[in-house]
Amino acid sequence: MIADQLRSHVDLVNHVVVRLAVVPTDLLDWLDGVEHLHLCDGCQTGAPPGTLHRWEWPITENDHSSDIHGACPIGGLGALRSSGSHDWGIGQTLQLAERLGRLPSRVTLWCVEGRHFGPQDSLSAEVEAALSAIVGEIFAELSSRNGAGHLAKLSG
Amino acid sequence: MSEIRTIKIEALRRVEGEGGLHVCLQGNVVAFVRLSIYEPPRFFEAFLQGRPLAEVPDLVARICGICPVAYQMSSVHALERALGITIGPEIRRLRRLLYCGEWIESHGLHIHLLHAPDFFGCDSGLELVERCRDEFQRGLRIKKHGNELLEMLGGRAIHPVNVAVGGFYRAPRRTEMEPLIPAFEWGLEAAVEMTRWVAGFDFPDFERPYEMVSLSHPDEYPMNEGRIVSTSGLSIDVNEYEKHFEERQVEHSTALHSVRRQDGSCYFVGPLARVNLNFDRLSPRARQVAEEIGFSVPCFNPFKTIIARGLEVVHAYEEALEILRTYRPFNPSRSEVRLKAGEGCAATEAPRGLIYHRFAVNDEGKVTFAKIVPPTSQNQGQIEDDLRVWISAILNEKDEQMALDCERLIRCYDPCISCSTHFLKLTVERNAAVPPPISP
Repeated sequence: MIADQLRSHVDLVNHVVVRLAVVPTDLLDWLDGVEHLHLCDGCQTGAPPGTLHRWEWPITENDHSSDIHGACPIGGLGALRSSGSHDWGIGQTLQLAERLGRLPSRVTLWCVEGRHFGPQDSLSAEVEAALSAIVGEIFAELSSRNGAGHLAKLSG
Repeated sequence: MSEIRTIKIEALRRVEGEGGLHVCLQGNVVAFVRLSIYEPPRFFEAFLQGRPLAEVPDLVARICGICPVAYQMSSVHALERALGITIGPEIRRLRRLLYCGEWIESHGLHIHLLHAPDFFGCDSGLELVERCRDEFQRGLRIKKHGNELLEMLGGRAIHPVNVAVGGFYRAPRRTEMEPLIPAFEWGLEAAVEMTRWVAGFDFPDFERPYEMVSLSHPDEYPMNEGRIVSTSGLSIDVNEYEKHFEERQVEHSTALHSVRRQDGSCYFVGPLARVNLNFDRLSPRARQVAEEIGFSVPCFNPFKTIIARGLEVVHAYEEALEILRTYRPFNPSRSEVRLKAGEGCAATEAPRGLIYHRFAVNDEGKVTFAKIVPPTSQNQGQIEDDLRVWISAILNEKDEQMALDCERLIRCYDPCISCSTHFLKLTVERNAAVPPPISP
């Protein structure tokens, strides 16, 4: 839903491509020539549902400075554990890209605090209510930056 | 009193989906093995009822993000049988091309990211990439080719939108096909190298007299059409599938188990079954590679399924290239659909094995009945049976190693647990006389 809304906005922003990945490893198909990768996915840190986190890769456990809400996954972004139905989570996929020398020089993770992560669960009311604000915040950053950006939204 | 050993794998790693395995050992005897699927039933068969048949391909594609084409192909063929629709040769070829894309993408991902690490003693693909960097880069490029083909022909790689009852919503232009040719020429050679690579792995000596089941077609390697055959000599029309195979509910799993109706025995579907039953219809290059690496049929070692996947990727590239090079646009892109009440079934070959659909529709074009049997649920019983034998041979291992070795065997089947729901928490109980009750 975020990807769809962003697509309608980013036509106004040069060099930004919005893609939807069904599994994190799909990202590996799109990294060539990308200067700044923005990833958007759900997360659970204990913050209220609908909260938007912003982290810069490879943020470590003690570095909270770039998160707009002060939270950080324990163990850093490399320790991100996937709660989706596929083995390779974002953290592992980004580490793989890094080891292959394919990770863009900048990677920003936009993670939306969710409530329901079970298979077949639908979007919670809190997240749905926060969608417009979330899209606005991401778009504001995309439109304020120069250079080629690539935003990938994970469907899981 | 015999020792009680409990081994639990909380979540089976490097498979699609979530599941658990519970093993009970009474001394040196395997009392039971239960592969449990924890994902809630997906209820697709229920909510498809009442939907317009035109929506079915788009809806069933969402059963699985890794193998949407398999569900789309099975559904459209079943609905076309129900309506008495015949598709032309051009549509037939494009549907095979689409399936080539899915095989390339799915097999490429499984071989490199999920299965190959087992043969190097690596805990994950992240460890393996340090040792096999070039092979990994090659594998990711192969996977990408599959997605590019799906995107070109299916409209998008995720849940393709161009598949329709009767054909396709739009036939591609030659200018859309041609850019893929150089990439696929590279890919064919890369697939050959990949197959040579996996053929050199160290395979456990584990063979069983499987009842292997797949489609078989007189003229081509099976994808969308054919009779259902088996290594014990079964040869039936797809219409007779439910006379010979049935799904049974098992208490410990939300996925139904498929068995042979005649004796309740399990059976084996997937790439190794296809190669065993259709070896002479693999593409020339695939057969050439098989001979070169010393792979021959019959082969009943499940660990060598990775070789079968490699051969199928070679085949898929070779067939895809032939279609890409000779393609000529055609019109109309789909056969006419005239609504009438009817019922039809079809089976196609998903990356993980035989997939069966049956649909009934009314004269308004609404679905009144849907039955979907994925490949992973058909393999569930066989996986459990394999584990009973496998565990018997590794009883002296420590629990942690036994759990790892059980996962290795399960991964041979490339189970797509997300599909099979109608991770692996492996509990091995080495216990006394009475097995414990099944925990909720």
